[in-house]
Amino acid sequence: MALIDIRNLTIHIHTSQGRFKAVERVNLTMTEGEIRGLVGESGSGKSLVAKAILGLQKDNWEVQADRMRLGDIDLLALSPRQRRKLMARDIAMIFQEPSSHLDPTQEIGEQIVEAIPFKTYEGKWWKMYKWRQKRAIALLHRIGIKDHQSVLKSYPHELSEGICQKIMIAMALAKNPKLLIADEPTAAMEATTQMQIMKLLNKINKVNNTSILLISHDIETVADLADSLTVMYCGQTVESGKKDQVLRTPRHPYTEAILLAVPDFSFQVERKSQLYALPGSIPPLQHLPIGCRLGPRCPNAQKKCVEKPRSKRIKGHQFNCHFPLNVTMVKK
Amino acid sequence: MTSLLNVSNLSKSFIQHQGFFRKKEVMAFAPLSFDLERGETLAIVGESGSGKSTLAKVLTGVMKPTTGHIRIDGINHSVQQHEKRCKQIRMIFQDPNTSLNPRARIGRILEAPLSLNNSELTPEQTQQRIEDTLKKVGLLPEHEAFYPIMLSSSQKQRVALARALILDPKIIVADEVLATLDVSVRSQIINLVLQVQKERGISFIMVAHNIGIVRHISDKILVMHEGQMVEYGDTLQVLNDPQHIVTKRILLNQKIQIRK
Repeated sequence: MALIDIRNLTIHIHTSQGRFKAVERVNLTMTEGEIRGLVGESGSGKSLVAKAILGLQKDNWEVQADRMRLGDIDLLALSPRQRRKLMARDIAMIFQEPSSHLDPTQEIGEQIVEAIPFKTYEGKWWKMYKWRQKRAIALLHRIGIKDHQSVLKSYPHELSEGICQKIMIAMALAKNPKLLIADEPTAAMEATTQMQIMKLLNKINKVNNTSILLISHDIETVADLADSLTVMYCGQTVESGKKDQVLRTPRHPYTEAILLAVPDFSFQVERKSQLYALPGSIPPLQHLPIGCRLGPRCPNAQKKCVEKPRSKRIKGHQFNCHFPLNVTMVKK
Repeated sequence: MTSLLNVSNLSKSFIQHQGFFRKKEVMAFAPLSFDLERGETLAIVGESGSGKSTLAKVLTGVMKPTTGHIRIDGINHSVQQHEKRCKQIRMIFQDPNTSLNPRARIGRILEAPLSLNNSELTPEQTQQRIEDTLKKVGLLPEHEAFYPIMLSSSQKQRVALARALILDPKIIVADEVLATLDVSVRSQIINLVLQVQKERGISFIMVAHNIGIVRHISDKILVMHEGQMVEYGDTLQVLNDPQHIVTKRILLNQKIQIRK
């Protein structure tokens, strides 16, 4: 059964310059125990989608959706209070730049203890003495920090970015969430730490069967871990499907472009040759093109592209393009 | 024939004062030597804290080296006057958003290196040079009147490259220029760098993370670890047959294979 089912999510943002459609009709479905990679460049609205799932919208946002469900609960029908309760129980999020999301004035130990909810206590009441502290140590062991004493006693600035991110993951795990949203968990980290974090996320997925929504701007980092991928461009979903479908036979010109832009994606490119690049740059929110937003940069764009393409689906591989690539049988 | 850039026994150490009389010497990078030919690209690879950014700064002349020589075309770098030196070796910084003066128009940003270096150009020639350079990096002459905030990050990076190119240098040092860019913008900048290199024969020294890109653009590679140069050589040779454990580890980490 689908854990998360979002249909036609649209987010408008009110600014002093008017009302912008930052996210336009995004669909996202996740099954239990799945790792889904959400890939998009900066400004593609991937973080907005994550925040909309969590219900963390700001006052100037307007979130609309045809359907938004978490398991069998309709998120749209809940009151804000009920929704907050639900979110606290079932969904956890880890942010990028972990050291800035931890409280700089509190010791790590206190922060982890604070994040452990009472409901997760399983045991007899007479064993409750200091159970949170014990649990915090257990959590640290679980994420691979052996030297718990010194970590619990230190402040965020004393620890490296990698360890801070691990602690964020530990705090997220404290409530045994069904869904973990990782918003650029490895941004600005070096390769070794990046791999550790990715391995940790994989382990969590395997052991607890937690679904993970892995958000990243770099298709390289998510490609290995994710089961399925969703590619976004300027607030529109461009393509989504199983990892192999998207990587081997991209249907959308944008997906193809970002795959070709990575030199070591098993494409044999001649050294020092020009890489494939889309012309132009990502349009700012104030000047979004109508229809398919890739239109002005797309190599195959035609007159029809001023209309937003309807999403098509072949064997569970969904794409939004009037002129899809790698399709041999042309449908009428 | 001497090579374009010859670095011998270059090292940098910082002195930390502890109390009144005690001081401690911290080695940013140990003595290292390498050569760079015209039109070649050298990639400097390493973990954070391995001294690669300090090396880049010492090469450009932002910092003075503790020991060693930097020779460009056989002329010792340190005895030259500052103006002369920075015409030959220029630097691009990591973050284009903060490396450009937000209160100056692009025209003024590009004019600054020309006027500060006492180049004997008439105002018309200066103007011409700015327009030519802007065109070369794929911008329009009209962009001269723009403020940096009006440009996207790829355009800002192009301006940064234009600022480096405008004095017609022989070597450009780029410190993690590609790390913060988005994928599609990144390949645009890579293409631009390769094109500039082909047309003008400029040598690049790039501090980089991504091994795939290093393999694509560089001719030589220098691997650093905790201030030591652990491996140096032809890129393909080093990457296909790494000798040192650090290089092997970097290569292994890049090919993340958690699932298989």
